[in-house]
Amino acid sequence: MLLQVNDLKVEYHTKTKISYAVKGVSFRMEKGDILGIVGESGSGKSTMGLALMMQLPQTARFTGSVLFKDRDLVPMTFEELRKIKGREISTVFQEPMTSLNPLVRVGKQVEEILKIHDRSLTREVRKDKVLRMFRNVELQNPEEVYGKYPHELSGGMQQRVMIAMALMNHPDLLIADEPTTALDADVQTQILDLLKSINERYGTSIILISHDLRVVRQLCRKTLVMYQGMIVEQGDVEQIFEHPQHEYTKGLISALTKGEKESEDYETDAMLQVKDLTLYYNIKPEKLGQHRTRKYICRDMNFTVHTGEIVGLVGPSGSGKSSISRAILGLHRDYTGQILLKEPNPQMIFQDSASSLNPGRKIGWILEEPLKNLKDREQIAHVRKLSRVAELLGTDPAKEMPPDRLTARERKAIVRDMLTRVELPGEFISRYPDELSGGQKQRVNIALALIAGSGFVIADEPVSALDVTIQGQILELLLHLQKELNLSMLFISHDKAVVDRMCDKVVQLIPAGD
Amino acid sequence: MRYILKKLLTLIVALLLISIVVFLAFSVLPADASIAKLGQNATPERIAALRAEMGLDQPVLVQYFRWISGAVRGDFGTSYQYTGTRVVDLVGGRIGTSAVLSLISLVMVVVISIPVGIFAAKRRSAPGRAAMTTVIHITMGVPSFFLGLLITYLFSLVLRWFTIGKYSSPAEDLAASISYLVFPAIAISLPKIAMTVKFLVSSIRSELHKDYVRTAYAKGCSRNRVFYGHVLKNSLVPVITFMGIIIAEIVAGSIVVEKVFSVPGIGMLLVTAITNRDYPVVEAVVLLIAVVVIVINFLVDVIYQIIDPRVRL
Repeated sequence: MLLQVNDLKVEYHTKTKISYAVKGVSFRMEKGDILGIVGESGSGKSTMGLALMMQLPQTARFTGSVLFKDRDLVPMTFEELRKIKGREISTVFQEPMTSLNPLVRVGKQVEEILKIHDRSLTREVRKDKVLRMFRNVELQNPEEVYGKYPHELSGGMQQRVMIAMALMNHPDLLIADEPTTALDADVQTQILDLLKSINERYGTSIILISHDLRVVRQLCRKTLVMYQGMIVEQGDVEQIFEHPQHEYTKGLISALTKGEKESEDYETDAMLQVKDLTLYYNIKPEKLGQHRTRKYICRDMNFTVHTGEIVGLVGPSGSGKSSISRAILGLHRDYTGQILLKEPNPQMIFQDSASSLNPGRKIGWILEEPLKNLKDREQIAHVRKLSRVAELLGTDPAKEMPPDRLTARERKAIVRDMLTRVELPGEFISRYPDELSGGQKQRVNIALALIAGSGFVIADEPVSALDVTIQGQILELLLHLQKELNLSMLFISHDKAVVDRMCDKVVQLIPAGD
Repeated sequence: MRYILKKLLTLIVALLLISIVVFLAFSVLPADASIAKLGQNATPERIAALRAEMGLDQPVLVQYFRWISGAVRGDFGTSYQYTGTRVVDLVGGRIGTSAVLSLISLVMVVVISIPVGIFAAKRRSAPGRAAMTTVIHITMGVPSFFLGLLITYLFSLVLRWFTIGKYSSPAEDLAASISYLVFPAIAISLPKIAMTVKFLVSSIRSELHKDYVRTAYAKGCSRNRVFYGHVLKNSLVPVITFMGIIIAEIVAGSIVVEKVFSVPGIGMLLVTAITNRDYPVVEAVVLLIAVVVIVINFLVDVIYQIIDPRVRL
């Protein structure tokens, strides 16, 4: 028996309340196992991971026992744990870029884990071991990588460095917390393959924590499904995939296998026309006196978004997905060709649901702001009609409403109406963005994009940062609103399944050569 | 290397621009030097004669080139006030004093604020933090000249640790000079120390929450190793840029403080020269201070570039 967790409970104590993150979890793991822990954020899976690494924040209290090789980790002191961490239990984190110290060469960082646990090794021996491990995790040119800084490596290489570091002392247990979430799809597969081969070669036991069932299925034989701090299902991965028992698991699996949207024919005129669009940016001369050169992002793009249509924009990172949307919004001016947009007020929904919401303001204020700036009479009339303001307030549009601005009362009514449309309760008006979950924040962003009556929305990876179940809900909402308001949408995503479900047609981007 | 060369080029351009600004600023002043020298009641003939003698009747461009070509060779002309004394000699005689004063102030800032910053950043308790913030904010808010008055009163009049005005230059007696300059240096550096501590503390605190710290703990690093091996160096990187600003403020701050402590340095020279419309001296001193600030910021850029690999180009 390698690991036996008995009735583990974790609570977070803050000044105002106690929240229970893990509510009595028990499981066991044999040597050489690969165990998956699946669940959405808030399910307690990350807290579990931190508890197993004994890296819980100071506000956490925990009870129960974590028997690792028959020793209980829970009552251990910092110093006792320190000798286990990095030597017997190692960790690989989600964000390889930020998990490495930016100012230290990666070779030195990997070497440190040897130095801490065995002072007798000479510098030469250590370096030799690091280079050998770099080769084992399939890093090309280990000598060269050794002297690089983290920012000089790609995401996949950084994660390989992290894995090499975790393996340096041949640990019994490797805990990988969302190790592939931040990586591109093909790199994801490579890293998972690497973890599998490590398990086979060294017999290292692995706990893989992930929100993505597909990732778990690719690597693990057994898995736990966590929901609201408890294990709702555990056992053989294939078994769970084929015959999920718990409602939550069923939801998770069906979210993965939703069918594709059927294409409909459109006769309406074009909302957005992109003709022979070539995007580039200018590179500043490196030497004095050298001419500027152009670096091409993409060449000769042609596509049309008709009114009421959702068009998907897919392609690998670096193929210009975001640059095209910036060009459409007028933020990227280095292009040739034509962009014709009918909607004067295009809106955007971003991947990071938090970044566009001012943390110091309440949701109501944030949603009201675009309404305050409306000047155009036609637009104001349009917004009024859209939100049925007259109906809501029982006023007569011809008499009481000023044609050149929205009154405070009207704005409040429109905000409430919009919150209902995005299926949020009205009391959210007085909440701050921090008090909302990721999915709720993304709903607010959608409301923000639509509130000023825009008919064209660019959604840039709107669900990539969300859990699978929440993803499904947000996509459902977007589809629903698109029908209701007859929106046109440019939908940017790297996820083929999502695009197939959402879009009427797809534009594939290919990165331009020089 | 290319990065440094590029920086060096911008440095030279910046210096040229500053010299133009400094020169033009004084040439557009309504009261010109001839009047300053002869007084308001001088006859127009005498003024015209003097202007011709001083070259003031020539086009501004010619005057500038004459001035700048002299400046490059270290010739700033002669003082109007101390007739016949070369500006270079006036400035040169005092530059040592000011340099020593600024240097002591800078050393104090670095040597005191880093340990204090580390100590303060490690305070976790709420009362400890509150006390620290209060002390820092009070110290930051007190102007140097006022601190100077307090220090003069306490150390010179009450404790009699030094006698105000009894100053010997570093060239005569370095030890005596330093033991006098320590007091104005305290007045200059105390607010800067508070600023640097505040900056360092917030830099350390934000570093402590970064992911790589979690990684270091996961590796099995001890608390000290995490702090001194990883966090501290990374927290000091932004402090280096901050020091560039602090140095500029020290140089600027010494102008007033020299007057308070009657230290015969560049600052005092500048204040006197301005009151007497001694333009050649003012121009030379302003140019000198600007050059020092720009060159130091250039050095800071270069150091930053060596320490942080991410900005290496």
